[in-house]
Amino acid sequence: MFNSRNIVSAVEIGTSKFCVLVGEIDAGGHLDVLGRGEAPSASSVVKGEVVDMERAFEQLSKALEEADRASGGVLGMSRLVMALVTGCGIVSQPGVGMVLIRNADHAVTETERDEANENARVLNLSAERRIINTCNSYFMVDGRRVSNPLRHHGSKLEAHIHIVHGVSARVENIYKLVRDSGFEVADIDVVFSPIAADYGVLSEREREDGVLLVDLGAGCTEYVMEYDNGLCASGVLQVGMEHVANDLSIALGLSIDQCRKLLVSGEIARAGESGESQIRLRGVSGAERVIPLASFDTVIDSRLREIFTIIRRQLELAGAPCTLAAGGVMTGGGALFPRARELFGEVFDLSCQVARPRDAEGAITDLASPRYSAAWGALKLAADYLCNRGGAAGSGGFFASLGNNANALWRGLGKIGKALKF
Amino acid sequence: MNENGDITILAIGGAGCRIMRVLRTLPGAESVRLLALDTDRASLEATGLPEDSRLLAGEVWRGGRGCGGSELDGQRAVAHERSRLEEILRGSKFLLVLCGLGGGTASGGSPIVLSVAAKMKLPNLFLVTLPFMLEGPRRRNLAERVLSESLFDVADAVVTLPDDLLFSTLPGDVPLAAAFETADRECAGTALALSAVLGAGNLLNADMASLTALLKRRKSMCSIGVGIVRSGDGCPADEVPERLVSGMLASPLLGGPQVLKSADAAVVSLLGGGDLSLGDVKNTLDLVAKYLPAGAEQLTAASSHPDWQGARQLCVLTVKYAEPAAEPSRRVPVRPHRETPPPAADKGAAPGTGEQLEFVLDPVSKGIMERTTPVLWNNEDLDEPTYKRRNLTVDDGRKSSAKRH
Repeated sequence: MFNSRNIVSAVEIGTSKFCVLVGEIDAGGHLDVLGRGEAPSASSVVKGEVVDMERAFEQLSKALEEADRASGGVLGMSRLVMALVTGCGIVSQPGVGMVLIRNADHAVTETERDEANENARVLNLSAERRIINTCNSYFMVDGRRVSNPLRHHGSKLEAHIHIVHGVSARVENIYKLVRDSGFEVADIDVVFSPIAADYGVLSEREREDGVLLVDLGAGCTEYVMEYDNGLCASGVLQVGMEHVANDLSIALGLSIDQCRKLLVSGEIARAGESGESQIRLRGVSGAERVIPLASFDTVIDSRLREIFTIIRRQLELAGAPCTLAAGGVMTGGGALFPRARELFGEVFDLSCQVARPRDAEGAITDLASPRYSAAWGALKLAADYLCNRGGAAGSGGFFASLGNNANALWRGLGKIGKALKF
Repeated sequence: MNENGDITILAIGGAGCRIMRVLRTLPGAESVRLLALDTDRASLEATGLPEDSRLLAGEVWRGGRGCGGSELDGQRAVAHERSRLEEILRGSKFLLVLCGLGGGTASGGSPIVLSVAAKMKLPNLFLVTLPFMLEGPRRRNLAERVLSESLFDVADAVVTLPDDLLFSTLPGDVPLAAAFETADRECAGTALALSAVLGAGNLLNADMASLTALLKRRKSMCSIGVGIVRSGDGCPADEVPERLVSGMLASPLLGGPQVLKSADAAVVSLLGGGDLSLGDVKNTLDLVAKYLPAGAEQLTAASSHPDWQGARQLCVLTVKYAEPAAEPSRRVPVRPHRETPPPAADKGAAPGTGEQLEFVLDPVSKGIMERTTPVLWNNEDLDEPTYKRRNLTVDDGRKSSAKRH
């Protein structure tokens, strides 16, 4: 049957949960969320990467079935599926491409811009690595920094882009998993998780002013830094809240599930707020113990501080700017943990806001949790791409700056495709 | 006069000065040169050192009021005193620096002192204490940063003593001042013992090169046990070695006999008076050796001083290298809980009740991360719990629960 509906889907294969979102773009170009499906990862994903394909397939199937039911059976009509990717040996680095402006009036046109972008994407990668995403950082016209080079006069244009690449085989696992789960017909593409979160939660103003977004998840902590409407740094540290739970489990002799619940339930924070100095719990042996709150603080603080300190160091090494007018933003499940926000502020010396999905509308109304930021961003990206492909009203600057090398269907798309730096 | 070949002990900052105040009163302290450096005039004066042994940093700028915990102010104040530092350290053959990291003067000033020592090619050893966790994460963080960025790999040797180890022996209702006093007393005894280890012209001496080689081989964690028998204790001569060893084992900054049993190396120092006999030394060292693993490297020193007539001090510095010598596959998944309590403190013990929480430096468990691809950063395995890699002590409530029952 001819598919006339603009259905898009997003798939998150995370360490704690698999999440599928289904959305539809209406005639006005608005994205409505039709359904959501979730399933626990059941140890099939560790530190953001699939370690058991068969179990991951089972769990993803459960999430897909739930999403299909919730959306009224339209999941199979998805025209584009955006899958989130993290871990996978992902490395980010800047790329620079240069062209001489040879036209008669020495003004930058789309041709020069696209050629500079194309040159910037030329990267000597080893055979086992592939580019996952590229994003605009900024342009230089005759050595002068501009965010949009079009119509600027000059003789030389440089495109500075941000390139995200990873290990091909590990990225291919994500493709395979999604494809085998029933999306053989739909276009499938991948996006680096924090870039999707960026798209899902940040405003244009924040991107312009400069902002650091940290997505503290169960298995990984990802980050992106936006400055002057350009992405200047991104990365992933395969350490997350699971490590915090694991540390607690080892230090205090509690079961790992007990520690996970303690972190999620907010019991530790509540005990601190109510002025208690200890928590009464049963250890793995069943004996009741009174554990000082300070012991929890020691273990949790040392781990979270280390995570943020490493990210700060990685940002320093990447030469990222240190003055960010919009401050810091935390998202992901870890952002719901109050101590994480405090430590974020201490380590980065930035204000810290919890970011939730922006403008998430539709039948699903409970998406306003930082846990869904990346999945929502991926769905929004898929929708905006589909709009642009169809010539409908759609995305602004961010999407226009996102390029992808993964899917052949994204290539050769004429005017829009050229803007995407394939 | 300085008998120990011009060994200088320099205390920096508030904690350093407090340790110096205790150190000055210990027998044998006059055999080393004692100096104190601080931005706080009152703290310096409280050391009781003569005026020419006190150096008030940034006097004009700070007015002797301290630097309020600001590392930057501490750094600036001490940097102003570079030339005076060079002047007072001239003639020294060895520098032992005492400080408590986490405050302003010591955190900012110790790297400056280190750079002066390096410029003068003065062999140096830093004995630093890390703040209690109850002092807040900011101080702890600062201390760890200074330690890792400015002292480790730069100083000839760094001995790090976490104050939190005191919690393993001191009950929770001990006043804070008393906890600090205990820490100061332990550190003072250790500083003196280390100077005796390195002192020339005594009975058995270990040179700086051996000690440096021991401490710089790999990143290490240290703990220290001090056992003292005083002349007025009325201890029979044949029981002195046992009394010294049991005191050393109950020492708050040691962390229990298990630490000794898992040490990769140990520096053992015995101090005594003119009556210190070969038999005393042998018996004591033999007893200590029983607690050390067979393959552990041992550096031994014995010194005599008239002030220690009839008294003895045994000091054991344990060294546990950060990475176990064995292959990673040897790592055990979960550390079993030790059921047997450590021996109780004896009459000659260093202060403390003798009951200790475990502070076991055995191979680190990675829990659910055991069979995953390790995440490495700066040669550290991030899957290992951070608190363990940072050598932080955590009370899991087992001891207090056992007590209640």
